[in-house]
Amino acid sequence: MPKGEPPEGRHRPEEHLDPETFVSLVVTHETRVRAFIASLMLPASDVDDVFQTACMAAFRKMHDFRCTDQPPDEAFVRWFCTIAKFEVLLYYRKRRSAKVTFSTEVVEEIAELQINSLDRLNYRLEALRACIDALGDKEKMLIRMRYGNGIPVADIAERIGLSANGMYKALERVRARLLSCVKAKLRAEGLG
Amino acid sequence: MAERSTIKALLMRFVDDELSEADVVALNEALAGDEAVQQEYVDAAYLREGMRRWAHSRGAADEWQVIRSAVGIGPPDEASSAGSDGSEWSVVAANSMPSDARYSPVDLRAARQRKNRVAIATTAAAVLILAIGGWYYRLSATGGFVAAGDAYAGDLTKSEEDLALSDSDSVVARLTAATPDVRWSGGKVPSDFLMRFRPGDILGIESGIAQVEFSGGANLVLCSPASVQFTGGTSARLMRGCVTGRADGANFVLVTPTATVVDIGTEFGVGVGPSGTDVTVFEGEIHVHSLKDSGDGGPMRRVREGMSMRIDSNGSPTVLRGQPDYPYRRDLLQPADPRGAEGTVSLLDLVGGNDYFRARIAGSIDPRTGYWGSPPWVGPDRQRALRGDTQFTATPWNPMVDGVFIPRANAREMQIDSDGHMVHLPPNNGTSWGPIWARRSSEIDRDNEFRTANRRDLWGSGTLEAVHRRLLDAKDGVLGLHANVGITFDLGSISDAQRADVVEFCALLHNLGAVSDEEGVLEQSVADLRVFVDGKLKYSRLDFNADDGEASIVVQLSPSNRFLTLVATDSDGDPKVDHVVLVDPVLRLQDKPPLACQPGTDGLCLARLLDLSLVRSR
Repeated sequence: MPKGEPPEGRHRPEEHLDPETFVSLVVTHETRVRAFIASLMLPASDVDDVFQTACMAAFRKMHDFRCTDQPPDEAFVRWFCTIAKFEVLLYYRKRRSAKVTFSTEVVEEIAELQINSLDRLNYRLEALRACIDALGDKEKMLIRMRYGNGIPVADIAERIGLSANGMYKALERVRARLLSCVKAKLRAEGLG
Repeated sequence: MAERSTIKALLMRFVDDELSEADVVALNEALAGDEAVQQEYVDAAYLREGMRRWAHSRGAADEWQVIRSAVGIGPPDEASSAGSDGSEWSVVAANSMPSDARYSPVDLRAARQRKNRVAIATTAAAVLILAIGGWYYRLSATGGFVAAGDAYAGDLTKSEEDLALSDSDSVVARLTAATPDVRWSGGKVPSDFLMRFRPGDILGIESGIAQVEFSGGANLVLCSPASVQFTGGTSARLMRGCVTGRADGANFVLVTPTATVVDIGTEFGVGVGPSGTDVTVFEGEIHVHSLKDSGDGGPMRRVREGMSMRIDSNGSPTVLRGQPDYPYRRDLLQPADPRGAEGTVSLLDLVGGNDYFRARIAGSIDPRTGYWGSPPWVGPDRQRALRGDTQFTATPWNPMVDGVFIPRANAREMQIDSDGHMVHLPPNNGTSWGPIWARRSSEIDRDNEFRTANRRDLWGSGTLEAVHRRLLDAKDGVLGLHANVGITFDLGSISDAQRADVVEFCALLHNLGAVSDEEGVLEQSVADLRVFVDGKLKYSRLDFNADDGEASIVVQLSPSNRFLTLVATDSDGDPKVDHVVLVDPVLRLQDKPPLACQPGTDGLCLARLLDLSLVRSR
């Protein structure tokens, strides 16, 4: 590779994004952007729709993206999340009368907080995945039923033969364990 | 400011997706201007999203293991999927795609490779080695690098034993219609007289159009040339050509050489050719998965109404502009026009399917289960007599049939309909052979090979030939009731559906059972047939065999009659080859006379005046 050339397929300094690189970056960082949108969305069931409109908006504005960083990934995620934030606000404006949601100010503040710490949040997601993988089978099954299949807590309790209250406590224990595990991993990486 | 415990409770309810509107207001207040709470909230949001992503990726992996197992592909490599980043779902919608955004295979392949690099960078070296090994394993196992034509050839050469096809003793699909010009691949007609298919069976057509229905409820229309292998009641493998599919409310899985198409309750077309797999959605939405990715729960792409996608021979997806050039046919079955010019309804159509207004080539109902997709007459290695449980079995999937039963052997009272009518039937063997069946006469019956292909189903070596001969001369077709068995039709539902009174039941009755002995001499057996209306005997013919010839049945019915029951019994305690058939069985209809409800009349009369369709309670 000639000196000064970016790696294959990578964005060149001060050049526009080409569609191939755009798609590549979206696919690579889809999880992070979705997590960002999900944190701003109530209800979370509409995250897919907002992600799609954000993709479209970002694609239309692709040529506005400027970056000298190599690789451009973090700058791209910040740029994409900023676009996503406006799509969330637009979504809220359209549906404000139908549902009780966060205020515009709160959405702006939460979005800003995240955009300033996207690196840390990315590590957080990776640490969380490792922590879930380390859970026991029963805890994993609970997560699959509740967050994968979307089964209400009361229904899970009925299937397993626990009281609903007992099931809430079981889920709370799982979450507490995960938060503690994530915290420990971040601390070990010097990010805690 | 909210209490600390209140905020914690709110965040937990947020993670559980159980925030009320009051909670949202409270949480919004707590978040406003408080960075510490905002940080806690963001951590909770990422916890929720992280669990979702993990659960979805694991759920997808489990699902693909099931699908891969069903179609005979080995399990994915666990080590290789351990490093995936969980972002398994990419969404592509027709209305969300930029007009000039056509993702080339190179685009997505590059993206996938980059994605792999990110995952690999965070994975330990030992896992990396395993992952790469598993990656190559999966590609070779799924034919991901094989040209579409080669992959197809590989599938065709796979023997039935090579496929991990579960429940091979079950019937998983049936041919429901075919155009007169249909020509079967290799000259091989479907081997089953009732056009049923078991796991591993292949249906191929070189010309014409054929339609099949799966026991799970999905329908496929094959446009020639096309070949489909049946792998289960909710799955099949499209080996070449194109199909149109519909699976109302069911998850139907269609596997092609390069992709897996999951129908989640919609209508779609799939074509397999040298360019790969083309998918078009006519209604609703389907999920498409490249087989190249199936081992690690790779991206499942949603394809929405009006959109088309190609998965090429490398497993790379491309959104297509316009519909692929395949001759999709969205529906083949024609309305049965049950009243026709003669004002009759054929019992063949009532047995044939759950959609009363369609004419199927064949239909069957297992007298033990009341369901059509039950095991056939013989298992893989032996014939099987069907012993009833002495119970009347309802057929809720078929509103025109009340239920079925195998009569008790000991001549005690037997319930014959869902109103609880009890009748005394004569002593009999208490077992039956095969399903109650209905066959419309078809061009297929003129095929000599077809007429001799069913002997393994133990019709009796002389029976099948006799049935075929009679079918060719029948106006509509033949209803088969091999002793000992009973079926009850719901005259009330038929009347309501037709908005007419059922006034007569007519058919020609014959016993076509015959078997050749070692010297080729045909041996016959005697049987009985009884016809009950609301539990009252209206017709009987006893101790008759093939030599006794046909008899005409005419039973008068009145608008108040609810159930018509046909019972075939063995007469001599031996049910072998007691193959009772009804030729051209019909119910004659008559328009209802105009009602004149008096003041204070009952609800039924008023409803009929208002032309309301009443659902009678069972």
